[in-house]
Amino acid sequence: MKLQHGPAVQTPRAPQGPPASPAYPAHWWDAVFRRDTVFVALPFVAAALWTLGFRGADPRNMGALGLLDLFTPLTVLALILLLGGFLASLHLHKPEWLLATYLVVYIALIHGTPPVLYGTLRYSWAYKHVGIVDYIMRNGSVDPGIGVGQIYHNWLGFFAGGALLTELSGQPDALSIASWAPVAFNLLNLVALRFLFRGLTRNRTVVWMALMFFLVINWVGQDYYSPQAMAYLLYLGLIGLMLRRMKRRVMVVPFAVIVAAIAVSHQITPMMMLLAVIALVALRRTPGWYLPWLAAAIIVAWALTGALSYTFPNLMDLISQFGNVVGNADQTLAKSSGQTSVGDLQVIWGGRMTVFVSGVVALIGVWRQRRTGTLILTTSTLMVLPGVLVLTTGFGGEVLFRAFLFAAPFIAFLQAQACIPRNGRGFAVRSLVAAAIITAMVLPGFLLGYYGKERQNYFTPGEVAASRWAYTHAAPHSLLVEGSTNYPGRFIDYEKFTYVSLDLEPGDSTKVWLKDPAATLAGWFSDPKYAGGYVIITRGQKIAVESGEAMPPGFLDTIEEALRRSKSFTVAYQTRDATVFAPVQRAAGR
Amino acid sequence: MNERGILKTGAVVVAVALLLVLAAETDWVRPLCAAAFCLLVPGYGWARRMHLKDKGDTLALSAVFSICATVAVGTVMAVGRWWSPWTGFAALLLITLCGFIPLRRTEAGSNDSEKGFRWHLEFPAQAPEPNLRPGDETGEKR
Repeated sequence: MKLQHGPAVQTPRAPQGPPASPAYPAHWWDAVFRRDTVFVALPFVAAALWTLGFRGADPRNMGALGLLDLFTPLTVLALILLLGGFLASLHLHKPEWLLATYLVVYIALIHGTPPVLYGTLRYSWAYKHVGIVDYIMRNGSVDPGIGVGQIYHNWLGFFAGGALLTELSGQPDALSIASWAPVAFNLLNLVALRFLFRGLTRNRTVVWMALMFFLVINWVGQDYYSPQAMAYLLYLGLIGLMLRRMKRRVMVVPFAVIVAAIAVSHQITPMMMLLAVIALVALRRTPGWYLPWLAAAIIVAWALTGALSYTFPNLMDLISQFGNVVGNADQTLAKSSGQTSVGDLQVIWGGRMTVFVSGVVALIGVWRQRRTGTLILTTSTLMVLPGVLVLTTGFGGEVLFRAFLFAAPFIAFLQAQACIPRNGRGFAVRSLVAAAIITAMVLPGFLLGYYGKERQNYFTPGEVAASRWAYTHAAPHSLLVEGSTNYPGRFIDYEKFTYVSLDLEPGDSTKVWLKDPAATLAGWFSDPKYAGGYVIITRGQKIAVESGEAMPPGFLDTIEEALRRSKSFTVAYQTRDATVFAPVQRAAGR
Repeated sequence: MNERGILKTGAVVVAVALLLVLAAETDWVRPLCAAAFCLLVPGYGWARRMHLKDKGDTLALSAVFSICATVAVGTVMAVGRWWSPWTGFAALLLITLCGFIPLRRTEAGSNDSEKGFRWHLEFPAQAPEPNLRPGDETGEKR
């Protein structure tokens, strides 16, 4: 009796659906809005509005805010309807398949828009990864001692799997598969995260709200066609597996299989995985003292066998970065320090704002649910643990991004914990409003962080065509001079060429040779060790160079103009967005 | 196999046959089928052995195990320098089938009408789902 009438404890709500409707509703709209049909239709209405909002949009018109520049009131309305509908469905205790529909549509819209709108693969690194897959498809093996892209040949799991998938799909290359990778990875992450969260709690409100929060805070953009995206998915699956109660001997085999797949595919994820495994065993969430040892043994075994060609020569680099917290973190911050335009600063601070708000709300979640014992201890530990990564490596100036990526699931979980009542039951209007306010605070930062760089990440069909032409016409051992690395490059026969990126040339020497770039470049091409070559200058390269501080304004325009005027070079291929120059003296064709 | 089982199997066979025909005739169907196969199929049987009760959880582990299988097969072929897509496909099919083949035999229970031994189709995993009261949606694991 006390339980039933006490103010703090409510009767558990039946999960099967909303309370039974009265036979005769007080208002006609009661009957309409209580039906699931409205909530089923809502995501599709949102999708239609989103599509209409982008109708006629030209990605060339993206400005400093990237894809956000193409947003219209309809696209904003679509997002509001979608996320509002999701929260309302959660509040009204709608079935899980309906909640899943909202999030699947959200992923399809947010991550499926670029491939549909662009018609080309976005992000220059994705092309480089396609190039490794291309290498495996052509050679049927890897070359661990190769000069360019050696690390990929040593941690080849993703590329070998990608090559197998590409072969089975009957595609000549992985470009089309890579275009849709963000959608696929986010859908798979959704399923894996639900599995993970259900290992932490059986509260469906927390689970689904955490899933939504994850999708609206994870702006890092590591979901493109890459080993880290796949390793991250496996990491989530592994943690989810370890959070389930099962007999030790049953867990060992799947545990070892997942660890091995991560260990052969990526370098930084095994570090994070090992930390998480140690934490879960130390916290006694997972039985099995030997699991960290097993994981460490698998990781080291691969590093000293399959990846030996890379591990030994680069061991000192890895050791030198260990413990250099400030230096490692500064590598990430230095990447954004050169951005001075208002748009760039909005993008940078938008992402940081999302991290800040999410972190604060997660801490509120820790405080509000502090009496839940090991649940909050486990999630807090897994949230904080990625910070240790900063101790170990700079990871090419990306360690802070990666740390946030690995913390994001648990930040999202704690955000959800912050929204629900302390007794963990129900999802009252107050909780709904809190969740809506948090979503409204983090979503703009997410959109800025995720879409803000799209002007650089987008490559026009003309750029892809020019790059493809250069790579298919250059003779082996040619020199390919790139305006910058931000172009659709190195995805065909990548190992056959030598690359020089003009924006990476030392600043002092650049000032000298920029006085007569045609003569300098002609000198480079006259080296008999090169069988020929091309200079590739594209729209994407110019945007990337202009947004950095390393080179003077109009750097690539100056070079392009000089090459057009020079008698030592001729235009070998040209599109609206890219020009390929060939030296006149040397025949470069295959 | 009862009537329902025959119908289900028949439906699956027809669906697969249709997909194969479509894959051969339509450009975009084959990549979809290949992706669905590599990302979900090889691990499905193995995930079912975990007895997770929830279909979403089984789907999650199917994806994780399937990706592991695809990575493993691709890596072994690339490192071993005997790259063959059809061998890879066959290996993935084998992994898929192994997921459905019972690993050990157990004696039939006393209630079982069949005599002797039967193949034990369940992977001996403890059910990870705690027994919750119906309608209790908090269920925090402490």
